[in-house]
Amino acid sequence: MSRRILGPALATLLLATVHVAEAEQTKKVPKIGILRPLSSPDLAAEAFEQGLRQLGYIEGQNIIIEYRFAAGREDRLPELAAELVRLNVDVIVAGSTPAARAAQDATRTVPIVFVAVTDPVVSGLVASLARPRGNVTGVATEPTPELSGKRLELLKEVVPRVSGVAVLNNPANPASAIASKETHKAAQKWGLQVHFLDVRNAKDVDTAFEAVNRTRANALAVLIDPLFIINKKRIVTLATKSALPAIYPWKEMVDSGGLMSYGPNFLDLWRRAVIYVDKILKGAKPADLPVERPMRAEFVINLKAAKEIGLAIPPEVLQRADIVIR
Amino acid sequence: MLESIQNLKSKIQNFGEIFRGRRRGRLVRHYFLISVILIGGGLISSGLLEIYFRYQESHENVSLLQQQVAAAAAFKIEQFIQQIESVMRTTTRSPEIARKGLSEEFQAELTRLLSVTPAIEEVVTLDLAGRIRLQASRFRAILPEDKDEMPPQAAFEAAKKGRSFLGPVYFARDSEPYNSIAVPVERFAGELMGILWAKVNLKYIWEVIQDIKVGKAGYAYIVTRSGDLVAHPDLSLVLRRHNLAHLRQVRAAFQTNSNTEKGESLISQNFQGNKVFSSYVLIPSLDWAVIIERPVDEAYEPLYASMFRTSSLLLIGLGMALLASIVVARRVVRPLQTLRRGVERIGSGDLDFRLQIKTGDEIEILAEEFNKMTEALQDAYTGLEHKVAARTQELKFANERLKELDKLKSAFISNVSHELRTPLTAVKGLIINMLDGITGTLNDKQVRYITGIKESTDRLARLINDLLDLSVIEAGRMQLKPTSFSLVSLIHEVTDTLRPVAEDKLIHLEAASMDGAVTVWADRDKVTQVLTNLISNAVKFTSSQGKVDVSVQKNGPACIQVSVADTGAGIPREEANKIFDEFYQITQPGEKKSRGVGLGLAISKKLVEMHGGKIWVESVVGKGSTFSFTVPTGPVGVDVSAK
Repeated sequence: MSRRILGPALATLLLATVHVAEAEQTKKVPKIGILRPLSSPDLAAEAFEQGLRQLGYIEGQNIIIEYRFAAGREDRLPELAAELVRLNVDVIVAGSTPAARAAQDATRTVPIVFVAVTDPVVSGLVASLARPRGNVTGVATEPTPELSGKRLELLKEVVPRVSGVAVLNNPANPASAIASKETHKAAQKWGLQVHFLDVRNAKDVDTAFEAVNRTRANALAVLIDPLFIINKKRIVTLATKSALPAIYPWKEMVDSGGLMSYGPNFLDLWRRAVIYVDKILKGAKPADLPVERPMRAEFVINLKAAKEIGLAIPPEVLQRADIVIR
Repeated sequence: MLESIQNLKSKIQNFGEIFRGRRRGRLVRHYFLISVILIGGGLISSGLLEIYFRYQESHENVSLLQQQVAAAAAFKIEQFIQQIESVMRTTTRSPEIARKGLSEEFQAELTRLLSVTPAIEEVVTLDLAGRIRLQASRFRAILPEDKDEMPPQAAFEAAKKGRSFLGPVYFARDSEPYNSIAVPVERFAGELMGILWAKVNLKYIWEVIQDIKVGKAGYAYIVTRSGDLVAHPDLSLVLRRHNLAHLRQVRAAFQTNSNTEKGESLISQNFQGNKVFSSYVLIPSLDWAVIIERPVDEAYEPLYASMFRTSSLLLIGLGMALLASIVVARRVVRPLQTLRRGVERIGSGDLDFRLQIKTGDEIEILAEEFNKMTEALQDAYTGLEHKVAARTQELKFANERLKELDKLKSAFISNVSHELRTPLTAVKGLIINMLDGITGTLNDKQVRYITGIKESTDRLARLINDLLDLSVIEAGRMQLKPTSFSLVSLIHEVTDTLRPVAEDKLIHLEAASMDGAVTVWADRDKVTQVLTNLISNAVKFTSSQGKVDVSVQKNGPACIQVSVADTGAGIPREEANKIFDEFYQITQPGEKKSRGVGLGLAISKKLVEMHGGKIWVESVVGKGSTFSFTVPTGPVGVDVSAK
């Protein structure tokens, strides 16, 4: 009788010990790979890390974060993505549409969380917002892709005399197509001339501004691309120099002296991304995590910048601004 | 140390004995069971009742708490929508409307509406013909005039009645929940100009719902009648368009009577299959339900703790009750067992034993009575013993006297017989001399008389011989002189001797055809005596024309059986056993006097038995008797000494 119990009991004990040993072996510190088009950590990275800390992840202790910065060179993204895959990271956080695409090309198994993507469906990253399928999900940048059009409308409201708008665009960005389309539609509605200026790298910025001066554009709209964030100082300076009232997608550019921006809070997006990373590290599959879009867009106006170019902002518009920088 | 261990051991054994009730000792078990049933039953039933009521109470408390939370959440959600509606209504009451109707001036009001109500993503004014007059969007510059994004006819119908219209929940890009609200635009009360149509992003409700916490893990969510999630703390469930129509709590929520507005609670599974305590409240104006779910384990945590406490107390109580009942049973039963053991000891004969029971109750009295009884029994027993000893002594004495007397009798008979034989021999000699004519010639009469005298003398001599034989046998002085001889020739000798007597009585005496080779190992004279006796008896008791047969046959491997059969009157069964006794004479019917003293058969029996044989009679009254005896064929096992 006792032998009959003892045998299986011993076997179970043995198996249990083996399992525990295995569990201890495999219980490694999870690794997050972050692929960004920028050149160095910014406030977004800080917000992301802070979000991780709030959920109990402490870097170096129970989480390892591997940063890879492309420093504005999109052609480096695939290489960096492959490197992260080789590092055997548990999740890749991609900070732009090209970065997400590069990560997606590098792996079909490692979960990818994107953060700054205008329309993940159109960009081909996910099958649908509700059910992404595959190994990619994340937070879309814009509440809706039509936001580019809305920016033109705001520009028109702030500067009613505007007739031509120069548009900085990186055609290499998969999101560019939608943004351009929406911009065109809005321009048509408000009777504006739009001049698309392609910026594929940092050098193109100067060329583009030279081109603006040749056109009859009396305002500037900047579309979404990491390149514009990396070169925000240059762009803002050039815009001010040309006395062009400009609208940007991100508050960061207004913080750097830009006139106004309309778009979601970039830091909020990165904080939301932390929730995706947490769920994935806890075993959720990206395919089961629907894509979130921001609910809000912040309207930021920089009165100093307005003063510099001698622009008077209509009070009723100023009233609607969420943030006014003086 | 050792001693105490021994002591403990014996105590344990004792306890075991009491508990198991060895040897029909069911009393302890009885007492024990009764007290366990009484005490344990009481404890268990009260404990179970307590647990049951706690459960009810706990269920009600949890249910009440969750319903309050659900009701509060429902109120908040309703307010959220009502507030939007009320802000929209306020927007329509602008002075621009009163002055110029749906003019460009009203556009500013729409923009303002968007800035004060974040949940409204887009707002449109339409005239009664359904044409868009003004529009404002948070994210879009141009609103596509898709049919499905335009208000349905029902919105206009409601507006005509001055009412607001609440569209169904729909999911933009099949992911994000939206709702439309339409309010009438009136220049003044009663004059409808169009409607104000707003697209409300319901993700904002998530902000309301995610703050609702019940306990540690309890949460709230909102579903539509079709089971679509409108808001859930886990936004991804909403965005994935998780349908919860199959959940019991969702079905139950929409089955409640919307008039009562009072929610209910139930235990069911959540969408992940975990057991949850669910409470729900219907929001009739929106046809949504707020559902609160909390893991059952957490909801019932206080109940489980209380149940654990109650069960522990119950177990302790039961344990104590068991101990108490064992103690009580022991106290009641132990004196009884002492009594039983004592009685057993007395019963087995130890009458000196006295019961020592000091319980001060009926058992002690019983033991005392028993002691008294034992004492009386002991007294009686001792008296009886004395008497028996005295009687035994007397009997022994009498027995010895009897033996002595018996010896005296044998000696007397022996002496007397001897003394009698001597004069008789002289008489007999003298008579023979007279018959021989030595005293002169006798006349016939004298001859007849003297012959008579001689016959009587012969009989007397035989009698005396018999008596002498018997006394010799009984005194143990008879010596056998066994030899091997032919039994058949002996039988012939005897029959030849007796044939004249038989022929006198016309009796046919026959020694049946026999094998001459039959030899026996015996005292020839004694066997002759036995044969003579049996055959002469047979002749004597057989009437004339009768028949006497003597036969021989084997009886066993070492014995010869001799049978003497006659056709006499036979012997009744009751007398057959007595005829071998000394001086026994059978009373023949119609026979006036006996013809012997009754010693022949007794002597024959003793002689046969001295040879190691046996003698018996088979008889049928009126038909005849057969006397048989056995004689050994060889010396083996022959007991030559008489008894």
